[in-house]
Amino acid sequence: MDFMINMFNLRNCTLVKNKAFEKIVRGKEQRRRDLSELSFKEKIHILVELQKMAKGVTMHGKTADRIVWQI
Amino acid sequence: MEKTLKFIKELKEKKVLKDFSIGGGIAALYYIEPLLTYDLDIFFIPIKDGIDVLAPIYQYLKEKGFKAKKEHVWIEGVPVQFIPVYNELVKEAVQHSGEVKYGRIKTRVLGLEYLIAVMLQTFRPKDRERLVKIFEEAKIELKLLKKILRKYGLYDKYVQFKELYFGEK
Repeated sequence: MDFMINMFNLRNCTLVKNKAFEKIVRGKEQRRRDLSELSFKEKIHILVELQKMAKGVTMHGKTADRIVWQI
Repeated sequence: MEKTLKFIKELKEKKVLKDFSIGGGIAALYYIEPLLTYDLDIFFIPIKDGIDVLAPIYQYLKEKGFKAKKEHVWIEGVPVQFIPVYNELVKEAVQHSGEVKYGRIKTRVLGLEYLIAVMLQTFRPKDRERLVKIFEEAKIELKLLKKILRKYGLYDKYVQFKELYFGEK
């Protein structure tokens, strides 16, 4: 794994040590934890919304077709 | 999705496969925040060993009118990929899967600690990305995780990973 950037060092860089930025980072972490508590069904609903967004982003590019679950 | 999971469950009830469990991105999503993924990976234990373990599943699906497209079968609007258990770790992971509910349907998802072990074993960039999220967000039974990792020779890789991404020694 020597070729990989040391993510721990990256997180501890000067930018992250800025107090305002740290507050934003902590807020994002809390948001992610809250989202992880959602029910399986709610998460799948969000997943389909993410698929729709991703399809919108890539449809004019040359990337592979992005599918959206028909549920 | 409920119809998809109900149909997959039916494969076990009709003895088309011995056992199954949801793995991959959807299993990760079960434990952490929603993440973008495009298919539903189903790890399964075949009804009998052989060269073409997928044949009975594909035959059954064909009879039911479902169509295969590349490596997926579209079941009720969801592209499903059936993956036979390819080593002892994955087999044990399927056997130790927990039952979870999706709406009114009971299905099976790889246990969190087994999912981590499988991801550490495959270790593709997307596995590493999901592992970071799992270690940040999920409630992991460390004792069980370490036991599994030691059994399958993945413990050193885990320590290296934790050191690299979380600065833990």
